[in-house]
Amino acid sequence: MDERLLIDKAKRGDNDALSTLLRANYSFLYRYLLKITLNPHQAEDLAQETMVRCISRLGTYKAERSKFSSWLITIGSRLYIDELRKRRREVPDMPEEQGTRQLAWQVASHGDDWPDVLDALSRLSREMRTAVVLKHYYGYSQDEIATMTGVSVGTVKSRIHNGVRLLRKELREHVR
Amino acid sequence: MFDESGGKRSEDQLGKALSEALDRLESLAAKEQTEMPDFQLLITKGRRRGLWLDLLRFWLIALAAVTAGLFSLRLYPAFYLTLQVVLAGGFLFAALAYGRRTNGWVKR
Repeated sequence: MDERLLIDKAKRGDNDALSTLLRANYSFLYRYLLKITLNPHQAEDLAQETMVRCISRLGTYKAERSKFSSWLITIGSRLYIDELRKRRREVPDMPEEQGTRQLAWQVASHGDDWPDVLDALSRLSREMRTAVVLKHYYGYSQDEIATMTGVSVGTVKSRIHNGVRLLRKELREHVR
Repeated sequence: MFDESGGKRSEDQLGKALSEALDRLESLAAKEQTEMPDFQLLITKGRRRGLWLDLLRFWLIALAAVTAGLFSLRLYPAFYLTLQVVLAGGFLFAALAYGRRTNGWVKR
């Protein structure tokens, strides 16, 4: 069924249409969150919380402004940043590597190598990683990323620039 | 592995390497992804939260209308009383929201 039709029905209170809509977008959202968190458990928790927030605010979604999947990414990114701020306040020196190590172990258990790029990506700050992934993997413009993450275009530019510079530096060190 | 110049070519190479690595992560996610969540439960939770938000919005609009109505009817004592209640409620709500966000006085 057409996504717009499903959204209209879901807005009018049709739970079956809403369930179909969420089911169709869940994997996409989970994979995006996995790429920015590099932590399967955190990605799963965030995906579910994003879904709940999306349902509670479905009435405010406007199809002419953005695609439904982009709207989900916006909600997910902002939840991730909010959670990050909250955690930083509670545990200022929280280690970030636990989830990444688990992911690296999963990759190894499938007989694959853990790519150097992912290693370098995991060392970036979360804000930088989000901006780099949205720009260089999903191909969003800097304006779109600024709207999605709730910061200015200048901040997005500097996050992408610094993120790419650090990635390049890390990868050169890996080669040496 | 990467062009030392740091220019466009280098950025393209980096973008390509990043895409390949994240594609591999994505295919791993497809293999490892556990079962889908219970969407009916999420819908119930989300709809309930949406209802609370609608109720809050309704009360705010209703209070604003009552306050404006009392002022326009020149019922000043009742207007000031309502205004005080609205302002006190607003401050309390803001303080609670701030406390919840920052974990301010709860634990630190």
